[in-house]
Formats: sequence, C-alpha cells, structure tokens
Amino acid sequence: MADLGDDLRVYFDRLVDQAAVATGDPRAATRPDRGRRRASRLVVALVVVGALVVVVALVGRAQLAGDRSTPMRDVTPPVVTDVPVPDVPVACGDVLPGTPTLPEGLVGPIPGPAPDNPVPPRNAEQLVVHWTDSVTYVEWRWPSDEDGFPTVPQQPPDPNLGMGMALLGVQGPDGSGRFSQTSYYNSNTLPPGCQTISRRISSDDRAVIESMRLESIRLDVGVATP
Amino acid sequence: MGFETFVHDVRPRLARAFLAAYGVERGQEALAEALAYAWEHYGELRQMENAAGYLYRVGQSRSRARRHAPMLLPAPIDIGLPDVEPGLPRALSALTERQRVCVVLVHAYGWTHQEVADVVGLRRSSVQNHVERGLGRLRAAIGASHG
Repeated sequence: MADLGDDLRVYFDRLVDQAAVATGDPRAATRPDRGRRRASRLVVALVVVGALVVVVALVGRAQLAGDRSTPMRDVTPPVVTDVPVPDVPVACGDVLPGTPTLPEGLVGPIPGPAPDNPVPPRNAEQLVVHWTDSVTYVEWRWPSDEDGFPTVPQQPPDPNLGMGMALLGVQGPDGSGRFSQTSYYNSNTLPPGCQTISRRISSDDRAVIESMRLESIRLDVGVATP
Repeated sequence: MGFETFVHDVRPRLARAFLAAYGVERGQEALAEALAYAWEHYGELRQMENAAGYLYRVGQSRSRARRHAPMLLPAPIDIGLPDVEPGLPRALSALTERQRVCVVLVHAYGWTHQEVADVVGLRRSSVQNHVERGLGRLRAAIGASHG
C-alpha cells in the first residue's frame, strides 16, 4: 500500500503546485474574472435594453401610421383582466428588522446565503445573511423567497411577537449529507412587500436541527421594530 | 492572525481536498472561489473554529455550475511523472467524490479521519467507511489494469 500512497502523494502534490500557480493571490486572482463576467452581463443588458428601445420606437411609429391611415376606426375599450402584479424587487432594509435569537457560538451576520443553500437570492434587493459555526448554518432572508410563505399553512400571529410563524419539516439528507429546515414568519407591522421573512437552518446532524427548531430561535421584531 | 498567514495555513489543505474531490478544472475553480470569499469575509472567518471546513463548503457550492463537467485528472506522464502508476487517474475517477477525497487525504497526506471529517463535513465514522471502500476499489482497479 505504501507505493500507492506514495504515488497518490506525488501525483496530487504536482496538481496542487499547478493549482497554486493557476489560482494565484486570492485578493486579485478571481477579481478580474468576476469583473469580466460582470462586464459581459452589462453588455448583454445594454444590448437587450437597446433592442427594446428600437422595438418600442418601431411599434410607436407603426401605430402613428395606422392612426393616420384609419382615422374612423372603431375604438375598442381595453379589456380589464386580472393580470398579476409583477414582482418588483423591494429593498426592505440593510439589517433584519429585529434581533435573531441564536444559539451560542455562531458567528455572523455574514452577508449572502449559507454556502450549502443551493437557492440563490431572489434578487439583488433581498437581504440574505447567515450565521455559522462552520458546521451549522442559520440563514435569514427578508423578504422571504416568493414561493415560500404563501404555500405553507399560516398560523395566527403570536400576540407577543406580532408575527405568524410556519415551521416546515426537516428535509434531507441531500447529496452532501446535509439536513435543512425552513421556517416562515409574517408580520403586519412590517411594510408591504416586506412582511414575510424566512429562516433556514442546516447542519449535517438532524438532531441539531430538531433541537434548534424547537428552541426559541426567533426574530424579535416586537422589540426592535420602531 | 493576518490574512496571508491564514491563507498560508488553509490553502494547501483546501487545494488537496478540492483537487481530490473534483479534479483539476473544477478543483481550481473551487479553490479560487473559496479563497476569494475568504478575502471578502476574513473578519467573520477569523472568528470560526473551523474556517477551512466552512470554506470547503463555499468552494463546493460556488463551483456547482461545473458539477456536470467531466472530472479531469491528467495522465501522470503528461505532468512530468513517468514513474507514477499510469492507471491512477482512471482508477480515481471511478471512485465516488467522497471515496476519492477521503482516500487521497488519508493515504497520500496522512490526515487523520477527524481532520478529513472537519474539512469535508462528514462524520469520522463515515470517513472511515469511505476510505475502506475507496481503497478497496482503487486497489482492484489498479490491479485489474495490470492483469
């Protein structure tokens, strides 16, 4: 077995050396790449906006021409339909609207989703932060993801918190052996569009999640909300 | 601990783990992403007991876009190692991700099962199982390639 161990070490040492060259200084190595990605996204966005402007202009001209050529055409009143209101990003705040009650030993808030959450933020305006001890993560999203709260049974607001709360069951393990559990909160004391908040706990130990889920890990908006 | 000292400590461990898990292409991307994240969030990371384990998961999730890409492990001779078993990359590729990373970290670098468990986010007993099964498959594959 010594030979195989030696071969593995020599082989991976070479790959690690090459990776050190390829990845370089973390303070600089990935920044230009991200900059390029952002720049290319910006170019695509500008092209799309430009194309829309051209289309709108052409449509406007066509309508004007149509109006001139058919001055007596019938005018049909617009049909009112139940068109859903588009999901306009709402910036609810830079910090959570209350103080999360967390177990001892968790570090945070760290901006962004927990590393094991595959769901990206809903949009750039959504506040997403997490706390961790590097094994367990507690992530908060405000407002919650759009497919969250409305789909779960809502409970009447807690008179002490002014919030309704819905606990989902523990999910998992996923492909990486992780368990997760999500809770949703709503409060009519928060501004419209910002009344739902979600909390996701994840860990490699189901028992940890069960205990945290049943403990009073809550967002104390009753105290912190002006 | 300054950032450079932190990176000096954590980088080799992450590099070995990512390369063993994902091969060259995704492994390098995962490493770069994890270290970039470390630079951005060093204030929080320095407070963690197991920052390497946290960064492993960061690299894992941020390189997820490449998860369907084939695992690339070059032939030893192509990276200047003619004396290394030529069937090694193919045999490693046949293992599961967890078996591969556990076998490499334990048998190539002498990590303890607990050290692997901390970084990769597994239980110690799971690491032991992955090492045993992975090693068995690796021996069989390399033995078969010689047979």
